[in-house]
Amino acid sequence: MSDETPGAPQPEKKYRKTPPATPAVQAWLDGDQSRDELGTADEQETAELWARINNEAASLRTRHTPIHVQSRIMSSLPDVPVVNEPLAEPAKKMNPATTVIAAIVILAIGGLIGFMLVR
Amino acid sequence: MTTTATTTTAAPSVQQADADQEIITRVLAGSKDAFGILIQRYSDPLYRHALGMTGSPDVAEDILQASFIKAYQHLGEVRGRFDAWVFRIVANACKDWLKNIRRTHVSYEEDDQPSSLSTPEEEMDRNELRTDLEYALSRLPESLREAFVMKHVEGRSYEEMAELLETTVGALKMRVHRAREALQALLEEKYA
Repeated sequence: MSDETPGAPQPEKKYRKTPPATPAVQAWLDGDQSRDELGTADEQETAELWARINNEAASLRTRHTPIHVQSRIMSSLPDVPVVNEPLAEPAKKMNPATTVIAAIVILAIGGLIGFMLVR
Repeated sequence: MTTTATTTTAAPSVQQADADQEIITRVLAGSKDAFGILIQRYSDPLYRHALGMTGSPDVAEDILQASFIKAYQHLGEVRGRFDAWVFRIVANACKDWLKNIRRTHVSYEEDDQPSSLSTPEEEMDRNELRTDLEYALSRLPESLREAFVMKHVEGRSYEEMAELLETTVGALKMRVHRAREALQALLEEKYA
């Protein structure tokens, strides 16, 4: 059962919606302008949220590869560096004869449609 | 105070790219150990990318290992910058993983990095924000997530991102802007 008194003021919500990032806030986040140039209180509020997010994101920038990983990679390298398989699938090339036949078929279909439309 | 919101990570210099090419030549000539120099040089940014994309240190390690092995096996096919080439291998591996896995929860677990914050309240706030960010990031479509991670977590410039992802600065700006909007909406949704 709720122990709230009817009519009593509701407790303030922990969070209120932060205004969406305006083009000016986006420009600040892109490094194109300074925070001082954000004119409105809403923009400053959004900037405050993003300053916290940036601060957190920047802390991840200091992460380093765990030391054991580099030695693990080295010990798992095969003996031979180069294999013959290409890294990416080569683009499939169409046989010239197939290209000609395909062009003829497309032209024929086009001609047929044109003929039917004219009739 | 005139602060801007982002920092950037410079792309390797021409000298660095030349040095990479020298190392590749040595590896192809049979010096397996020389490959370790490339691993040491590039594993950190690649690891961070994989961590940002997958949210799991264990998965990031596995992706890094598989990607370097693949790079080693195909080293003779490198054209242009090695760092960009190997980045694409890692980025594709991350996308494949995201496609294949059913995500239920992501976590930057085993986070034993020292914190610069002192009070328990600040630490709690920060942990909460980190968890929320992980949740929101995990819900972003992979292309938006990739753009956001590269810009905000890795601190890359749009120009560098465009070079690595082989697309335009304008397209990437749009992706990052959309990612920010989506991320903010997801965070609001959580707290609404």
